[in-house]
Amino acid sequence: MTTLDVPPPDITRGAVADLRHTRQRRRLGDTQWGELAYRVYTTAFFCLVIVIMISGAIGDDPVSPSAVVDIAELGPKWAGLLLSLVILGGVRSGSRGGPLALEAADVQHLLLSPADRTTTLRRPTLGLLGYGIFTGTAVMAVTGSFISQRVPGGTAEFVWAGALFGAVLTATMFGSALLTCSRLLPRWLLIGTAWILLAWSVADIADRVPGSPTSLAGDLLFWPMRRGTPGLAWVAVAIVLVVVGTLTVGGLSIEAARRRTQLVGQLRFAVTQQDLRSVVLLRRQLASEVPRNRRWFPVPALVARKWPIFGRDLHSVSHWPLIRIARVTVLVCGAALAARAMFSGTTPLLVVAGAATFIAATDATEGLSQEVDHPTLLESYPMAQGDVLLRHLVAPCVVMALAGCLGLAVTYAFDPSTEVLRVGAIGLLTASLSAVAGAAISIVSQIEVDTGSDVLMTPEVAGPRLVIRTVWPPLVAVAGFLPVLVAANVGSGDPASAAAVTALPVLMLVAAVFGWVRFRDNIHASMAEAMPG
Amino acid sequence: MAKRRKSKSAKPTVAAVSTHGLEKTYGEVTALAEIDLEVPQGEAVVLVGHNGSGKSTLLGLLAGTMEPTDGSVEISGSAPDSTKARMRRSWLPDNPVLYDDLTVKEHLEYVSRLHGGAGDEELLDTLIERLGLYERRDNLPSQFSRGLRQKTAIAVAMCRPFSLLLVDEPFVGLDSSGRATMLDLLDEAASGGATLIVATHDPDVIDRFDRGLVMSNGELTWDGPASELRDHLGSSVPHPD
Repeated sequence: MTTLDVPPPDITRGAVADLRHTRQRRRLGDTQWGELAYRVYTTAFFCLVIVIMISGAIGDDPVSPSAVVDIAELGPKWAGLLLSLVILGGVRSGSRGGPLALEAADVQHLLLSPADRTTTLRRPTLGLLGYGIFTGTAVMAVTGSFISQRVPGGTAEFVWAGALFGAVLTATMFGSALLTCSRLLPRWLLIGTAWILLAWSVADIADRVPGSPTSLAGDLLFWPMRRGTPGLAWVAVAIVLVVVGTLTVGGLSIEAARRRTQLVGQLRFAVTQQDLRSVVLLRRQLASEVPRNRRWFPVPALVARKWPIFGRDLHSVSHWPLIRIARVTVLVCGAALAARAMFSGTTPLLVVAGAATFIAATDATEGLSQEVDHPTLLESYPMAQGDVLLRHLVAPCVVMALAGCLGLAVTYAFDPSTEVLRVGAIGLLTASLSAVAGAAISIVSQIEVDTGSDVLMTPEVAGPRLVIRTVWPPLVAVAGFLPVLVAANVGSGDPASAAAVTALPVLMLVAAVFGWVRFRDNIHASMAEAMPG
Repeated sequence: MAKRRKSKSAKPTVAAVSTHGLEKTYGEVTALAEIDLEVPQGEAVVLVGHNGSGKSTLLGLLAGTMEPTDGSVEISGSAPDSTKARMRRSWLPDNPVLYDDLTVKEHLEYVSRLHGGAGDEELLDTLIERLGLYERRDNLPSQFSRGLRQKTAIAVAMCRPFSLLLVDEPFVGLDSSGRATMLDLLDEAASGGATLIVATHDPDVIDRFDRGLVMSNGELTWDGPASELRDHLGSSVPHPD
């Protein structure tokens, strides 16, 4: 051993820089440039197709003068809600060690060395900020050009306004995440502030309280229509957050950084593989979400004895951590409120409501997921595999229906009318069952079935098949809100009757999915038999 | 092998490791419960206990990779996250953590430089040679077996100056020569005045240490001379994994 004096900063800075330079040189040396160019080309082409499709869907007919007034009034509030959501997302990410996803070796060798952590983390931080802000700016600039297609104002003005709003949006998100992870301020204070901003923003949209601070930032996006300047204050806020966050990022928790390091890579891989189950599990680990030791409620012995699968699922629910209960409740109540807004004419909220119940149902179907996670155990039961899987759907339906009742009650509290109760009761039934059906498709599809068909599939067939397998489960959940959508557009007829009529095909779809879960093995066996050779 | 020889210098006043009411919980699960521990500078401590007893958690807290739920840790009188503590402490986790795109030699060079130990090429080469990595010094550890990766991680932990060495299960995956070298390196570090805290399931190495600690269910259940540890454990000596 030589000396135990802390080395001068320039020595450690030089070592960190040289280490990174060596690694970068080696990585660049290993890069397949042809493949990279092809990936850039396909990504750019895909983005272009998306932009053209959205542009075509939006159309270019100017909206009516009254709609222009509505957009000028409500647009900034919705943009403010988006900002509130990204701030909350940033703060939550920061509280879990984000937004940086460092390599395990960087944590072990750089962050545990005497090198100054803020200096060491500056380069990855600036890289993340640069990439994030560039992407946000580009996406919102394109959004600005879409807006300009329908409302008065020059395209260039909207593109610039969108770009500025996008930069503020992403800078604020990363700035709040960095500030939270730096632990400069208490975590509860930042999370509390983010929730207050979100609640204020929602209340502002509902005209319950005036002018939420984030709506001011929304003014930036609609500046060509409003010409207000107060939104520029958010530019300063974003800059301050980014600068303070970058200068204090060295205060991050090593424990959180290590946990994130271990999980983020797996999470990204799971996302690229459309492996929703792994995404759910890894996200829970990232949030340190573990089941409670003590139960919320006892499961009657009679139930567990008579219906062991249902009893097992109730056991699972009885150990849910508080955060999961809160998440399912918030998602289902949010879906119910979105459905109410859809009933008033905001049709796009159909997707929001469906997505929210689908996510909630992936939590509610934990018992089914656990079964699928342990295929050897599943095969060992003395009953048909499909029968076991189907029985696992009973408890999630009960959970989703109970959460739906709460959602309906919250909606009724906002709008105490009999129409809400009548249409809502039908929507509750279809939405709960459809969400469970969607989650069941997603989970049961993970079970490998060898029919030999994949081998024979051409890329032209395999690609769309993959897209359908990814999009189909949430679409089934979205279908659960079709009765509410139809009721909203029934005109002079009875909305509840229209909803009831639409509920029938939705329930048939759910029955078909449940049937598929039950007889999937038999279907695949028949298909394999029918295959030539 | 003979019991290690420790150089007796002036008695230090500040403990190398000191914990007070140290607790770590995960939700409702208590991984570590109110650990009060003082390890003087230069002492070699062996930490034993069954799986899940809290050994790795205790080492993680001392290494600064975990944060206590309650209580405090001091490394030579400093907070475990301080620059001074990071300078003094070397941490060899149970699972080798290495860069996929740096060679063995580059790992040692950069880690040594990060700790102000630049320029001692001879020391690095000797270390690489003793661990049987000389032929592979310019290879990437990502292509190594578990045992070779463990040897690389040992070299990385030992190539820099330290006064406290924390080691978690160092013999996992090592062949007999690697194990012997590891033991020699531990002996040399102790002879040089460093404090050692080594968690192991290997009962054969217990006698080489000054002090033994036994952990069970997150608590320190026994603390005494390592020479008496084997008697204390009796037939319940944990077996290697």
